[in-house]
Amino acid sequence: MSLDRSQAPRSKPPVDDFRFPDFRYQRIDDGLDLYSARWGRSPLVALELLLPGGGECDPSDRPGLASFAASLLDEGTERRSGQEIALTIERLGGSLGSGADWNSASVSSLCLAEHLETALDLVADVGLEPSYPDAAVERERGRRLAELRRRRSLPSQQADRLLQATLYAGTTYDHPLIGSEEGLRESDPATLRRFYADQMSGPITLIAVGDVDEQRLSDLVIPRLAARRTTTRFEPTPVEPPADERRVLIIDRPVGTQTELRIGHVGVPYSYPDRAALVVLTCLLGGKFTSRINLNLRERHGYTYGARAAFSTRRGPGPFVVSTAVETPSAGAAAREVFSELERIRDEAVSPEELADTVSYLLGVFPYTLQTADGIGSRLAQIAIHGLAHDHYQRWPKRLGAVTVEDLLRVANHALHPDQAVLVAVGPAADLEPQFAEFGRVGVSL
Amino acid sequence: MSTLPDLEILEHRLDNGLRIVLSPDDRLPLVTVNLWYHVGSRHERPGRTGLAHLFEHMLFQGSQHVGTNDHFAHIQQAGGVANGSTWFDRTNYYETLLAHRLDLGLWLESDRMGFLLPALTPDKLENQRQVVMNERRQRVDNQPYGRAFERLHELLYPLPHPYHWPVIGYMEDIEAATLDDVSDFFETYYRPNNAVLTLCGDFQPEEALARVAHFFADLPAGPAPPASPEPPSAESLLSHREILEDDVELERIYLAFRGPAFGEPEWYRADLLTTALCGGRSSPLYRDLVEERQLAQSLSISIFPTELEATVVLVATTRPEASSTDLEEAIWQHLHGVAETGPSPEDLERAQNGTLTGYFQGIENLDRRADLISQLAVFTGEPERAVRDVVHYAEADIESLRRTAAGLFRPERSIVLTVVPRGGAT
Repeated sequence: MSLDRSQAPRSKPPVDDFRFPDFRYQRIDDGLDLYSARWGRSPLVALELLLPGGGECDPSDRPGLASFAASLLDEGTERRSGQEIALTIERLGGSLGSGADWNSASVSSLCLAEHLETALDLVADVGLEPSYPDAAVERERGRRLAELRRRRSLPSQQADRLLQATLYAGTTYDHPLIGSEEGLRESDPATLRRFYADQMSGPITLIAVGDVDEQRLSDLVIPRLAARRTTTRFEPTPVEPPADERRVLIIDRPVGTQTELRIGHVGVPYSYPDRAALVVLTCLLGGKFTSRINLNLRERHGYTYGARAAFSTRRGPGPFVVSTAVETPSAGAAAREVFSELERIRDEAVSPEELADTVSYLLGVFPYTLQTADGIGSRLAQIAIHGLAHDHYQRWPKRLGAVTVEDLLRVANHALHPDQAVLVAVGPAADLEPQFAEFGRVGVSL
Repeated sequence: MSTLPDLEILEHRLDNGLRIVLSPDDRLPLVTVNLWYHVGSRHERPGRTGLAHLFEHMLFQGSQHVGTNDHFAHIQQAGGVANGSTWFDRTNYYETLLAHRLDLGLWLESDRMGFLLPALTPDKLENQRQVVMNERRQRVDNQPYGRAFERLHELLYPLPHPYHWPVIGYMEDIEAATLDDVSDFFETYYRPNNAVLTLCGDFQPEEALARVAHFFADLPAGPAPPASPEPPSAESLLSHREILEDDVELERIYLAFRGPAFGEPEWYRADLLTTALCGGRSSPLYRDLVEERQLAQSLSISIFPTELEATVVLVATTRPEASSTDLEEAIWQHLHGVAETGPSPEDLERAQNGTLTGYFQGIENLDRRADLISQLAVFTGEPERAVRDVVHYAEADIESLRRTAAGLFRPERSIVLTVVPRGGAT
């Protein structure tokens, strides 16, 4: 008896409806919110303390200051040196780190549940009383300057940097989070302490997910973090970059065998009202392996190992970028395919099947991203940072399911602007220039 | 030490030799289908390097009942994720799906295990050859320091050792691979009796086993793959130093040794030793070289979980104002020190606790748990060691790690590769 393999097995009914796990939210006081959820089968707890002061707060004369200040949180406090902090948590098998993205600064820690109290002591100390010791500032500055130097040799970083600088000239998104040499050199311990006081001392949020007892958690958190913060929120000025004409910028890198390609324009803020449709659109266009852009450039033409498109999730209108690395002789052809995909999705409605496949994909991978405590924690962080409704993730599957073909067409025309896109290429300029002439004014830098 | 999780691990074998391991977990409505074939780049021959990896790409190009680009399409329509990877000793494929789509994963995997050849065409090979050549450009040739690991392995494992060549293969070999090479490779290695299938997630074991049998039981076993020749011993390696020029800004040192095979108790001690030396900011190497003396910009040690023996490699990027000679000398001082006295009690405790936390984190994720189980099943035949082996870390003591360090960190059996900016090799 042989098995009929000719058809894909049909779906059985789902075992159960997946729901985002229940979590607990408490406003402890005007300066402190607490989110917690029990999750997982291991005796671990993931902690994240969110503070104001993300990259969006960088002063224009000191790009990189926010990231610099956040990364130094765990390098010394009034009570402990950076080494004591690291030693205390690492001896217990845990970890602790700090940093910033565009929207916020954060301190995160992972520990065994039995060591929760120690981890909270450290997270609170690091988050509330950083001292910016001179030696630590110098060391971290040196590390960052060297990192900037390392990135100068990475074609992908060169491409990202030039695209951001071009799209966001004169605004707070015009640089990478790490900033610039000048910005780092201008930031001494006094500047860092002032930035902390002015930008990072506003209200905070603690998120704890894993093997936590919620009562015990509140008992430990309140004496350490409550009534310690100013309630003033510092609102950064929103980014409003001008629209651009389509143009091409090449960074000449004669040695490589491949060309890094970016095609991007100013995108939309996280709060975009049609967010569910935008997420479906981006996934279909360049988010999943079977997206239009990846199938076109990789599977149909073999130009690249991979290509993707994404809107960044920032409070202000972050960039929309298509990224890929292609064999140099096909760079022009690859760019033409990208532009044609961007035009096509604005001109023609997608088929109901393609929409259904994409929604189904997003619904399925949603629980996949929630397997670990920090996976749940990062969703709770989104709720806190963007002020989402507390049932946002419970309702999210339903919102994805309600997106229509018309929604996608409307959002594609509203949020995608291929006519204003800037194309950045890092590769041998002599080979690239003639290939890109059709896309707009070409500028070359060395 | 915290109690170990009570992971259930059940084993079974079909008549055609396919080994099956089940680890149920109903926390989320997900199931992962994780298939390991016992074939990797070490089963290739010089002149056809990269074949195992190119072949992995071909397995996503459809089989008799699955259309050319339909593998990912089926999976993504069902809300699943899928991927594959190739390494020195093995190739793996997985799909993680909503639990009620288990059949889909089993259908796809069984179709390409049993019915790949009818769907193999020159056009598909040509397309994937281009994709792989671009992968090599992106990851190796056009990447600062990208050639370093390749060169390191050439030096650390002189021919005829089968870890000599890179997993992705040399460009000219990728270009030379023929359709016959690809189909021979399939006939030789892609057999149920050369594979382990692990399922982790939300299912009833008896029911899941019946579904596996439904899709896989009628696939024929093949002859056992040819035995590999005994590779040259690590004791035949002579120390060697080399400088490699590249388009980089900062000098970087690669210091490599050959260590015990994955799964041996000594492998776990070596793994623990690397964490004791260099895992985390409070580790002695990081503290001394990055924070205090500021010779290094970044620093890491890793040990590969490979089957014949393990590459242990320390990678240190030199600070712009420091000298790589000083940095290397300082690293050797630490390595000699730990070989003489073992790690400090604090460093041992930190490494043991940190490793345990890392282990817990790993098994929380279904894909990673399934990989660990399949890996132990393929290399040691004992998948239940995914729960048990973690005790090797708890049992290690200062003296046993001292002996491990003394055996491992021998200058006369070391390879030192320094990558410098172009024009800097003077």
